[in-house]
Amino acid sequence: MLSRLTASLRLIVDRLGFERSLDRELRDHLESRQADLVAAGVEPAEARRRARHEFGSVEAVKEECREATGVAWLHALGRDLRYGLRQLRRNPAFTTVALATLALTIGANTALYSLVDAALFRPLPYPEPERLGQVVRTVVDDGETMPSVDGRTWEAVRDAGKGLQLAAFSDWTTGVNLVAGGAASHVEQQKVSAGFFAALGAPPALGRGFSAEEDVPGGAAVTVLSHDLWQGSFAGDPRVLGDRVLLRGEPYEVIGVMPPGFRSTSPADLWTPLRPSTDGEGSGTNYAILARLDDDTSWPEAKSRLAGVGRTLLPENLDGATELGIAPLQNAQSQYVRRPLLLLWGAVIAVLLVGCLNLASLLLARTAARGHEMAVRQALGGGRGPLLRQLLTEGVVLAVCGGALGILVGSLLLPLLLRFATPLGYDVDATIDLRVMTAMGLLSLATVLVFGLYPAWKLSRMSVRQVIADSGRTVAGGSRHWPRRLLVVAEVALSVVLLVTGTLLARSLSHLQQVDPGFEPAGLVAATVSLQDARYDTAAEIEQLFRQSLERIDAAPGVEAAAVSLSAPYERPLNTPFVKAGDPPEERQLTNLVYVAGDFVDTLGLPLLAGRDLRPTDRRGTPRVALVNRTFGERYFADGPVVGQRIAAADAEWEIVGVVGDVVQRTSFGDGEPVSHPPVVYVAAGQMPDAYVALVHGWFAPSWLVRAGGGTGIAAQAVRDGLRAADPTLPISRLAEVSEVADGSLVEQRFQAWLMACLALLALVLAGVGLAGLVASGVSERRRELGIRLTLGATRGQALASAVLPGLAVAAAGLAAGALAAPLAVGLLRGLLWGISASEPQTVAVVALALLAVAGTASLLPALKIVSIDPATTLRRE
Amino acid sequence: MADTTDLLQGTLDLLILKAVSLGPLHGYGILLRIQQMSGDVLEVRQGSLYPALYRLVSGGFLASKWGRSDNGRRARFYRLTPRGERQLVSERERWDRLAGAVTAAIRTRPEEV
Repeated sequence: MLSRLTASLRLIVDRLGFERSLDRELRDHLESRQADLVAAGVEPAEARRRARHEFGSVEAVKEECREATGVAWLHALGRDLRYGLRQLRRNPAFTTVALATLALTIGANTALYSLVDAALFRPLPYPEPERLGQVVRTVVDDGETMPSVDGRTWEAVRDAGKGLQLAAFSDWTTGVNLVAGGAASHVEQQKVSAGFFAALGAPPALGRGFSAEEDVPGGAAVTVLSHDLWQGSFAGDPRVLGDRVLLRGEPYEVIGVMPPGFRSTSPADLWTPLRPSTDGEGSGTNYAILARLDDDTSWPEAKSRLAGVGRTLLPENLDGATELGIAPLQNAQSQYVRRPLLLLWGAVIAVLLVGCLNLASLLLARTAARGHEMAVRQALGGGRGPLLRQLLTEGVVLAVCGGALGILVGSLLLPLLLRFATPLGYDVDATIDLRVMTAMGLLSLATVLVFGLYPAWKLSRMSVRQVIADSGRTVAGGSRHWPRRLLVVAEVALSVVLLVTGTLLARSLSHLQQVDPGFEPAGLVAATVSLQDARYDTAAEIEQLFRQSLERIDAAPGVEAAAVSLSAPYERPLNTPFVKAGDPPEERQLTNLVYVAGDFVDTLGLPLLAGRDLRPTDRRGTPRVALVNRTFGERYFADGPVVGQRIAAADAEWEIVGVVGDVVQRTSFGDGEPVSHPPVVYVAAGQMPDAYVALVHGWFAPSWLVRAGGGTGIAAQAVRDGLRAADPTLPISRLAEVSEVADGSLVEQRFQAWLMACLALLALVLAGVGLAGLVASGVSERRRELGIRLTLGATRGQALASAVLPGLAVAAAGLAAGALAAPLAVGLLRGLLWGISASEPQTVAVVALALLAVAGTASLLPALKIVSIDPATTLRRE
Repeated sequence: MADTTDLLQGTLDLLILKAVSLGPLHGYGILLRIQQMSGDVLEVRQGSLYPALYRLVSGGFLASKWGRSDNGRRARFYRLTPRGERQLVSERERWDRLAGAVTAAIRTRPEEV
């Protein structure tokens, strides 16, 4: 058996050799026979003739030998391939459209699927990733899960979680200032507990992870570096273990280096011990718990064990109607990007579908045109089998070429896509690897085969006589058109759905972009500096830093105003609970708190609505005062004066002395729009309680805001000089114009809107092509009929109308179908649309207009051929 | 001139196997030997020979190798494989059974039916 297989394989590989030896053998036979005849006394010429005559057809024998060896099919395949390629070359219009359709739709799919695969499906790069999970809190009512827990929950889980390898970590990174080897830089730091690397299954390449003794409050200051950081700051020196670096101004000892290619749950440059506790950041849900299932623990067991632990916790830790559970790590990590990504991918698949329908329509038309040829072949004895095989081969050739082109297009689109997607945190290693290529190859094949098989199947059912009789004399109409018409209706409907979604997202984006900034963004520069540093964790220290740097900056020529603010406009501010003075603690609500220094109100150009601005005399040691914004006043002190009220927040009491206008910020709590005018309390930086300064700097980095008359270049230079004069070891982590920050705050919405718009456009173009194809083939089929009509006195306009109207009718049907399907799609967009309602007349108008334009053009252009029909020539051709 | 009789495919296989069992041969030689073995009664139709040979090689009953024939030319020689030997035995038995049955049938006297 095996030897037969290898023999066949060898034959396939060495086809040429096989042919040569077969030819040789038969020729030798003929010559031997000839020689024998000559020896028997026959004339050489006669002997030759007789030998050949006796043998019969050499080609036929060769064919039988090939078949006997099982190589015949290979020859047939080669023939089919060559014929198919010739057919494709001879119909450049069809080939171009088909290949372009495949290339564009598969290309779009390749690019987006790479992203989706890397973000959602590709197994995490750790050993046995299916056993990795994250502890989550599930809201019992709606099943929504939250992946963050507080310190007490961590302790309870750690103590009682049997059968699980547990570690706590911080699910995000913070930017910190690092001084290593004399150079200062700004790096991303992630805090993880002891056992984190072990639980992931990724031990450090050099040194070790954190020990339990180091992972407690007050433990040793140690750090583990990433491979890239080690290469960059230490030139890969293997003696780095034991070296000291300055993190936030404090010395840390390097105890480990991670292997190259290691990816933590967030992109980090170095790790430090988490030191989980139940107060400070542990009093809020700021931890995440990684859990690796032991070999003998199953998922349901782990779930019930954690639910049990959850029940022992106090309600204030576990927030009443939630229970503790566990979810696969990949799901928990990709939770927030899952829905938007899948939605976008659904849209891309819809476009692929449109492309497929186009292709099917094209193939159907082509099959009808080739009906005559096929029938003749069959009549000449071709048989259905070879015919179907021929069509199949052509389909495969198309699929392979189209698929290859598609992957090429996709590889060009992917970097573009990633450039938009990375700011969103889709920080994944998306490449067009073998997985993606296989998936796309199969997709391409499935597309063409499924949509190409239908015409083939239809063809094989036609009787020869019927086809030959029909092909000469087609008259208008006929039920043969309905499959194609339905296909185009479906295409148009899908385009309508995509158009509606795209328009809605675009309008939502426009609405968000039009949120009143509340200040003048032009010419304003923001320099963000991380103050998570031992030298800046009291109010006195930051007050001095701000004063010194602002003095310098104000003195620079061209600078109009400068200030420092904990949160720049468009950023997400700190939220904190507060109570009105005199109210019991249960009445606490949430507000945003921002500390400022310098001429904050002037720098931003905020209107002062009541009371007074903060003054330089409001400083450390003087009575604590605060400014609030208009939203705060309206929401919490709606009836009565705001100025003069007292509130308690951040462990201190403050008197409200003024009200200013709203500034746009990213919403930090509640269900509001992504950017809005939330309530804010502004206080002087120097009056912040010391404990809060240190805490806040762990999460937020203040920005120096500078406005210069001479433009942003001057402002940028001024702030650099001012900061360097005040403290040269503080690196600026980001220096940008505030308008750039504005753009950055809406990057997710912009990404979605743009992508959807591009897809809608693509779908529309494809649908237009499909429509045009339908009308064009209708016209060419009806040439004879139209010629007769023109002769009998119809005007060209009437003839034109009779050709165009079916096209418009199809478009209208598609519009109706799409309009019915659109609400479903819009339902899926819930949570992504702001400030607009789905059934707005503007949206409907835009979509209908776009569709009419496309449908009109698509129907008219091919029908214009009618104008050139010369009735005399057409009839004479019959 | 000998009679050319139409042979069933199975019979041709049997004759080829037998011819080759007497010693490796190239295609033309097999043709001659079959003629010779049958006492010049059987003449194989030339067009059927090579497909049959290739089929037998593909089935593993014959093995082929290029060598030199007695007049010095290069030719492809066929020889019997162990599997072919077994096949030859079973084909012979089958033929004997068949031939015996046919012989008995045509000798039937009216009264035996």
